[in-house]
Amino acid sequence: MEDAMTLVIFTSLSQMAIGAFACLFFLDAYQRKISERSLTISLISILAVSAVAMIVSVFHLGHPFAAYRALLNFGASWLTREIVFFPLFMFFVLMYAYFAKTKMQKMALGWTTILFGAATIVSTAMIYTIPAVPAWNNGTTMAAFFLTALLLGPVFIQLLLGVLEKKPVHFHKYTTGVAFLALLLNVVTVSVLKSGLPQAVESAGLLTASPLFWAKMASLAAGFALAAYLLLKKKAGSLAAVTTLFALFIVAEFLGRILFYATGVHL
Amino acid sequence: MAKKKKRYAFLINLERCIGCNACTVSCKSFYQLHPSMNRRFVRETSELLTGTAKRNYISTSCNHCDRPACAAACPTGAYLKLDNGIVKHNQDRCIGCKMCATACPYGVPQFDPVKKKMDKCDMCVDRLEAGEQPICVTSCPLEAIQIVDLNDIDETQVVADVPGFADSSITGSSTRFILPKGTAVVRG
Repeated sequence: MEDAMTLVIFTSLSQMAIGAFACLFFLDAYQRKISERSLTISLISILAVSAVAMIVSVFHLGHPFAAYRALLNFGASWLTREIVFFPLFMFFVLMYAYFAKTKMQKMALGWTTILFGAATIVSTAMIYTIPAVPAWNNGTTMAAFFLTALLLGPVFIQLLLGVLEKKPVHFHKYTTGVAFLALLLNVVTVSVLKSGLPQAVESAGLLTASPLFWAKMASLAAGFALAAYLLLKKKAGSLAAVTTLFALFIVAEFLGRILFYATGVHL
Repeated sequence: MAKKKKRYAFLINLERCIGCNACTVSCKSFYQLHPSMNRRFVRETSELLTGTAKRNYISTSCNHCDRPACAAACPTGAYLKLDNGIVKHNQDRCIGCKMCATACPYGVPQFDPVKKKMDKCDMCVDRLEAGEQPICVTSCPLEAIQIVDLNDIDETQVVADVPGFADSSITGSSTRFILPKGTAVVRG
């Protein structure tokens, strides 16, 4: 796809923001581990990342200032649904920041926000789950988009809270598990593509022949190893370790998304 | 008895097409398309299409599908499946997101780099409504392109798929083809 870089940024950042909110919500509403100040700054950061994602996304349009017209086909177009759900997600993040004070309010607003976030990811994945591009037309697209949220979001929150509260939150068990799933998904994706239509087989060839794919795998594997090391050593991890984890995962996910668009061979 | 709705479709006779590109050029000229764009394409098919070595050409354009992927993908609802079977693109609504080009299995919609909007064949619907034939039909010197009503044609004499091109069943392509006949093998 042409102009894919704007879409790489939009899809990666929007999914990271959704995953980050989900993580923050669980820490706030269920574990009550976050101070009011850290919560507010984290929510603002999520909104800022979402806003950047949304602004960048309109630049892949021929007419960015006519982007509002993309709301007109909710009944048929997954792109319209994505464009409806993501701002709703952002709106409810804002609502959560202002109105979620009691446990009940946190639950109601938090779950509503997660619902719109999940609907955004489903819509984004469905945009690309199309027969015209066999490499995308399978469950790995949906799995990859949700894994981006599950991988980047919590590490982003870990990093933010590490900076804000000076004591990094410990969820290396979770991070190790999700990083393992992300590695596994790459193996599954290549297998699925190799057993698909000729265009999907061609995509698999392009994918594995690209140095970016191996850089992505190395980055993911390094992140997995670091998270596993911190888990085994029962260390909360220094801010430097968390920053390294975030850097490794965001590089891996960006490279993965670039490859997603670059290797999708059309029928 | 209620009259059946028309289902206009292209019928391309590969036995007749000589690959002269008159259809492509006349369409491009008539609609003043940007140099990088075409609404119709002429390509050489596999020499083994007929089972014996023979050079054949195929002229393709929008297939005016029964279940158009462009219409489902378009976030602005710029694509409309008309009652007569034609899939029409409303450029006034288009924002140039290119999702239609990605979703179309045949890669039909094209991006106009000047208008920054998508563009595709509308089977010269205005001409058809005025009782005229589309430009590609009138310009073909061998009458290899026809407009037919799918209600009236004998489907056993035509095919919807040509090897090497995307499966017509994905979106219900309305274009029909008459495949070329194999040539007799003459050996000295």
